[in-house]
Formats: sequence, C-alpha cells, structure tokens
Amino acid sequence: MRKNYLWLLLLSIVFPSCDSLFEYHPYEGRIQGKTDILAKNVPLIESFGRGRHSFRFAFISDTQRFYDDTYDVVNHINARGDIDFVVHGGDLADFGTTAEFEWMRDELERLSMPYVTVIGNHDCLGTGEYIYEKMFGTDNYSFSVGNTHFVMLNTVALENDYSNPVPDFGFIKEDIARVTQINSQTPDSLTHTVVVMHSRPGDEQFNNNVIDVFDLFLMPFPGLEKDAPCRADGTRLNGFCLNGHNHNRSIKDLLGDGIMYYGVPTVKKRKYYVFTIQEEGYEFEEVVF
Amino acid sequence: MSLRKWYSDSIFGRMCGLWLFLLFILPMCAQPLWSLESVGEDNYIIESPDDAADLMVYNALSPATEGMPRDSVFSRTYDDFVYRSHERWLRLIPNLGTLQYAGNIGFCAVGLGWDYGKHDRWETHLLLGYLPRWHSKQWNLTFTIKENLVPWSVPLGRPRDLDNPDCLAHHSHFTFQPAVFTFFVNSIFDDEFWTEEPDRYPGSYYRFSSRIRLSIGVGQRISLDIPHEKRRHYDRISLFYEISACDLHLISDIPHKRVSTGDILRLGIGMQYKFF
Repeated sequence: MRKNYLWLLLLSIVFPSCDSLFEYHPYEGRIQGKTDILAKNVPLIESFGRGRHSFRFAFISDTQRFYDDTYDVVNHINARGDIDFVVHGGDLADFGTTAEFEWMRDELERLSMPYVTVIGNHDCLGTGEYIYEKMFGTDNYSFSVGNTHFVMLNTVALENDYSNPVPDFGFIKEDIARVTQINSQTPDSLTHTVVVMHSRPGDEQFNNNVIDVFDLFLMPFPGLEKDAPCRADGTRLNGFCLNGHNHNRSIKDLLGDGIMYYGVPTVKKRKYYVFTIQEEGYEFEEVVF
Repeated sequence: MSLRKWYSDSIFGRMCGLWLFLLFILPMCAQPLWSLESVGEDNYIIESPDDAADLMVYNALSPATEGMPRDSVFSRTYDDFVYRSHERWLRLIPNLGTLQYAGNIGFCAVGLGWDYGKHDRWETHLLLGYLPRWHSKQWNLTFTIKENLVPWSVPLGRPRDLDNPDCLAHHSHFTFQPAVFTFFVNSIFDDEFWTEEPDRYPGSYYRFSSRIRLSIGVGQRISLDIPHEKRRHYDRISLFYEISACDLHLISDIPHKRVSTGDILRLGIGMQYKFF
C-alpha cells in the first residue's frame, strides 16, 4: 500500500496547476490570456495625444526569444518615466508558436504605458499570422497622436503570396485619403508622419520590385511631401520611417530622397531608440541599457 | 522534383516513407536476425504422425530413414525458416491501441502500436491527432510516431496467496510503471508548414522545420491485467499520463530565465489497450 501513496505523492508534485500544461500542440490556435491588444492600446494612445503637440515614444524591435533582454528593456523604459508609449517593430515570436506569443505578450504587458506592434516575418511562421492577428490585431493600421500620423505597415512580402498584397497599397491609398480629409476639414491638424515597418526597402523580405512605388506612396503623407520642411542635410524635418528586422543599427536616408529610415538593433544588442516629437521637428536618442 | 522534396511536399510521399519504415525496420527491431537461434526447442512442436496413413506417407517419402528419430528426418532448416518468417510477419500486427488527450500531439489522438524487446519494454505507437481550429485558419490533423521505453513494472498490492508470495499469479492484477520515457516525432498536415524551407527563401533562412516537431517526455502508467478467463477484447488496460516538451520550447527555455521549465511542459493523459 505504501507504493500507492508514493504514486499519489508523485502525481501531486508533477501536476502543477498551470494553464499552459494542457496546450495541445505548439502550433495550436488557442490563445490563453489577453487578445485584441491593438484595439485596446490604440484608443489609449490616441486619447492621450488629443491636443498634444509634443510627446515621446520608444522604439524596440526583434525581441524574438530574447525574453531576458526584453524583461530588461521593459524595466528600463518603465524606470525612465518619460516615455508616453512604445512601438514594437515586429518579430515577437521566433518560430510562430502560440506559447511564444503569450510569453512575449506577458513581457510587453509589464510596460506601464500602452504599446503598439507591427507584424514581423517570424510572426508569420506556422499558424503565427493568425495568432498575431487575434492577439494583437490587423497587420496594416494607422492612428494619430496629436498632430502626428502613425502608419503601421506589414512589409514582410516573402512570407506572403500575391493573394495577400504586401505592402498593401490599397490600404496606404485609403489612409492618404483619410489624412487628406482630416486636413481639409481642419487644416494642419496632421503635420507629422511616422511610418513603422518590419523590413525596409532593400531587405530580402521586402517586395523590392516596388521600392519606387512604395516611396511614391509615402510622399503624400504630411511631413514626407517633396516640398515638406527639411533639415540642413536635406532630410525631412517632420517625417521618418522606423524599421527592425536586420538586428543592426542602420540609420540613413535609404532611398536618397530625404526620408530617413531608422533601423533599430534587436533588444539582444541592448539598444533601443527614443523619439521626441515636437511641433517643429523631432529629436532622436539612442539608448543603451 | 527531387526525391526529398517529393517526400516532404506530398502526403503520399510521407505516408510511403512511413510504411516503408514500418515494413522494414520494425520487424528487425522486434526480432534481430542474429538472435534467431533463441527461437528454440520449447516453441517448436512437430506433431507426431498419429495414424497409419500418415506413417505410410512418411515412410514412403523417406525409406532410408526408417527407424531414425523423427526430427532428424524432416527438413529442420526449412521448417525453421517458415516458422521464423511467420513469426516475424505476425509481429507486424499491432497489439496496442491508444487514446490520448492533449500532450503536444493534438486535442485528442488515437493510435495503434507494437511492443517488443525484452519483457516488451519497448513500444512504438503511430497516432493520428486532431487539432481544432480556434483562432487559426483551419482544423488540422497531426501524425505522430512515438517510441516508449518502459523500464520497470511494479506489481501493486499485497500477494493474495501468503504461502506463495513470490508467485506473480497470486498478486493483484494491477501493476504500476513508475517511469515511462517517451520520444516522439510529430508532423502536422497543413500546407502552411514545411519540412524543408520553400524555395523562395534565400539560403538557410530559418534553419528549422515548422512541420516536424521532436519532443521528449516522461510519464507514469498504471495497468490492469485482465484475468484470462474474463478477457473479451483486451489483455491489459492501462491509464497513463506523460509530461513532454518540444524542441522549439526547449531551446526557448534553456537560455532564458524568464521562461520557466513549467511554462514549456505539456501534459497528456490517456488510455492504452493491449489486445494480445
């Protein structure tokens, strides 16, 4: 009979009361915990920005499987106290498994401010793109913070075929129409534009056949126009692009037309960017943590 | 199209590979060729010619051997061959059935299996799992090849016959397997997953297969040996649980403090039937 008790004892040690214990498959489509995060965070950021002309946001990217570094960057951003919201440049999961999204979401949820994400190529693996869509939201969306317009784009074309257009020019066109309408109702209500994408023109993930078209489609956004105010070095004063994907620091006027691309290294390299948007221009800060 | 690509892309290719594997490897595992000598005298029974007609035929066929011992007369080599090849092919008939809930191979799975080796310590199972849709695009089927090692089996309960405590036949019919080590390969039948990266990716881009998951686990089992006179369909029924972790989650856990071992462990519970 002693053996029977031993068996029960073993059972009680091995069975912790844990939700993830009954996950059916690494690629199962069942998400435990918070979903539709963008639908909750974007209105928070928009209502924060109402009437504001100056704010500060942090940009991190490529946190896949770097849970400890993500933990540290979240602590660092929280401790600063001057960041209004965080933009994540994609690649939250490494293999696209459901648990990876949950682990990364739980790290990011520790941020004391709202955050937004774009989809990365690793997020599309397996059932990942459906998990991403349910957990975070749609891959192309836009929102406005004060007089700054944020365009969040899916640019991981290599993960998609032609049935899912990447980049989605239809979406960009509609968004331009939206911005134009807002500005025609209340002139100068949107004067800055930040375009966030995971892979940038020239990357193997980008649809490089359409680099010039993509560039032309960004031009109508406020602050990115041909005649928009520029700095002394010829780069746009009120508009720029953000990207991740390459895991390297790469800041340059990528296409030679004055639109700056800020490529942020992965959190593994212990760096993130902070942008301070002001009424006239923006400030860029590179933070090592 | 290369053979490897055909194998990885086509469901027929995958199934062909599987059956080839089973046809050739399993009988070999079950009864290695070099140990055939052990199929010995005990099992080998030749019925003696029991009537005069048989004896006549026997004598007519081999007049020169009249009066010699019988087993030196028949072609022992050929009979051994027939016996062994029957024995080997019969081992292809699965003798285990499994029903499993959860455990990294789907919501539920059904399977057939074989046990073999010394004391039937090794088991190979083939399982078909069902993975519901939830938030993904579609429901899926998964296929699993599972290899179990059951090193120990402990009789549970007190011997009933106190005069003869060592006789297993008098123990309770329950046995307990305190550790069952398991290794399984799972694949998912969905075109979104790949064994080898599709051609559109440059070089070795992701360096992993999203379709093939390797997992290791350990579990326990309690078995009921049904008394021979009460058997209808099963020789033995077991309840088991196992705790496993898959390769992708193991490499996420090991270098990172923020992902605990508890986060990557998955529980499966199930029932196993032994038919014969």
